[in-house]
Amino acid sequence: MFMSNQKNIQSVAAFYNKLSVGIAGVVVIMGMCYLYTTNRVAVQGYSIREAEQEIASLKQDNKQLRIQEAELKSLYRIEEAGKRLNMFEPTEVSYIEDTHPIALR
Amino acid sequence: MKKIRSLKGKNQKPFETAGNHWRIHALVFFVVAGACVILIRLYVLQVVAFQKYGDIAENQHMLSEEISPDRGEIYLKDTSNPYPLAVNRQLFLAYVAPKEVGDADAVIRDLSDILQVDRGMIAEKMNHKESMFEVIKKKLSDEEVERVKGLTHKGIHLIPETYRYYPGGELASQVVGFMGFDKDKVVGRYGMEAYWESELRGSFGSVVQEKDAGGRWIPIVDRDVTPAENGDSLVLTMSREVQYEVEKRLKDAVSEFQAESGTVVVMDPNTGRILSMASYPQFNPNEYSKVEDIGLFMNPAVSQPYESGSVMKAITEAIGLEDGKILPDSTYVDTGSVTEGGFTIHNSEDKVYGLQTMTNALEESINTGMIHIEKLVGNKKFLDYFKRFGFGEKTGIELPAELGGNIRNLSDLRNNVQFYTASFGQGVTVTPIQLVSAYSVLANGGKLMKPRIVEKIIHADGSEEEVLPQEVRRVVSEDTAKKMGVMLRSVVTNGHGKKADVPGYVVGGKTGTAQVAKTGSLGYEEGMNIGSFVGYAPINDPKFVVLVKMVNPKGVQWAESSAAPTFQKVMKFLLENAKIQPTESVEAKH
Repeated sequence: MFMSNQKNIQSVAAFYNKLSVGIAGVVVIMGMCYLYTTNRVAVQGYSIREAEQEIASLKQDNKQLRIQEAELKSLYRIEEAGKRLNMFEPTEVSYIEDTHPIALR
Repeated sequence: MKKIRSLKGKNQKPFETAGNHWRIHALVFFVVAGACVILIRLYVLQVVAFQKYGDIAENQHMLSEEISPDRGEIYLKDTSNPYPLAVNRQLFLAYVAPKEVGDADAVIRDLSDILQVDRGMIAEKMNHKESMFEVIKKKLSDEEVERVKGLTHKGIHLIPETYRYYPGGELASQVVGFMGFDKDKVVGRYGMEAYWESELRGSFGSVVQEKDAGGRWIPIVDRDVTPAENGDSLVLTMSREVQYEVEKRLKDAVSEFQAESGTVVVMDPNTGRILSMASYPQFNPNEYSKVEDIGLFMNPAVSQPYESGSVMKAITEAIGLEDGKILPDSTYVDTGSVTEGGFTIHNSEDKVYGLQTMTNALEESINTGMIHIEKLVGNKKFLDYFKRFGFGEKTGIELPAELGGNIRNLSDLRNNVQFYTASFGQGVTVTPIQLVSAYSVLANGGKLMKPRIVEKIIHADGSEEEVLPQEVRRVVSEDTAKKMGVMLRSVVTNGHGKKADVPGYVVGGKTGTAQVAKTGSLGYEEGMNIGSFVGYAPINDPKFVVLVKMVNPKGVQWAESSAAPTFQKVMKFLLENAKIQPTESVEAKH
């Protein structure tokens, strides 16, 4: 009887050993999965941040270009440029109403 | 089975057993004592001082920043997209961190060469050895930024800063105003920037997030974000091209007549839209700190009332017509002067005209003719109509520092002399915007429209809010307005307004040459006058009401020689630019 009890104890112990190993294995695997997922999210987070920064930079460049366009379109600036290029403003402007076909050549 | 023998030695005594164990007890005691100290310390740190250390930890782990809103922008109308009149521009600031700098001499030399800054100033800043932030220069040009970025020295840094910028330069400067310091804050000063400060400014936001050991945001953790609300943007009723052309013609006129200053206001009489508001001299809002006379920042169109002189005669005529006391061909006899209460009021140049119609009185600008009308209407009714035309009160235009003029001299209904002089525009002060609004009443069939300068508001979320025309009240009937149109046309064809006529178009208007009141004492300045012309076209379907005001022009005596020809140039451009067909035949020039 003592021997059968010993055998029972040993088999139970073995079972629990295997169970422990199994649980430990699952925990390790889950831990590795978690690490992988977290790492991937972190990497993507930094990618998102880089993309956000690039968008902000492009928006800023667009703004700067709009300002440059406005500066170039400034009529006072064009007037000064015209003077430097020895261009003169016409003093008399006549508007012709074109009621007849105009020959192109 | 073996017996377990006693571990006790044969010769061991009880006392010696206890003494051998005292070291163990002492060790246990000190271990327990140490553990207790640790536990107590843990309790103190984690319970008693929880809040304090929690705050320190949060301060170390958390990064919080204020999110600045983008200030709204201001636009003029343009052919395709609105033209930006006031924008936010990012420019770089160069600074050094003396603590990081290696070769100080090289840094000083290179920065001085690139940024054109005194070497001594940079050297002085470099002497602050423990400092990490010493500003060298703000608002770097693109070329300077590129050259600084090309340097390899340690300790030189660039950071972006946002500034308000006006790409059009002096275009509509008194209308747009500028941003400047008010104590330690940068706020809108003058013009649209000031009036619309709260709408343009927006509201600050914030972001709180964990940071890593390097002080950088950790993107994957939660953020506590309160977004900033960007300011509203404004599109004005004025167009870029019209504003420029009007300013140019005004500048040429002020130069030609060597006037002290000039103002032009153009209004759409049917909607109250201000199509142009120009003053000369102007200033460049990007360089406002260089302006010596801060009076230049004020907008004379709304902030400088003046005694308008004979341009007021059209209003007096309209009052007489509306009250049924006169018709355009009603007559009176002019004797050259009127005496009242010990005062004698003369016509200009002491002329005597004899029998005249009301239309003649306007053509020849006869002071006694206006007194005749005022007497027929009566002081009380005259004052009522005067106020109904908008004089003595602000128009409510969306610009700061608007004044309502001064009609206090009309407060005593028994003081006839004040009413007589007011009938031809002296003794009361009005602003250009009030005058142009009053003439718009005559142009649009009798309604006083509220002048407005904002076409639409663009909110931060992209939605647009249009500002609609607003009728203040009916002032005169359509019949009165029509008759006044004919009379004002007659002033241009037969009277003193000939130089205001635009060939091919039916233009009407009135000149005014007013004396300038002395400041600080009674009477008028010798040799000074303000020349005005107010008119509209085309008479049958008015599209533009234009006021021209020239302060103290030289070499000319009357407004018909200064303000009237300037009006003609402005109106000619407006009519042709709007592609309004001429309605009168024009003789061909040979």
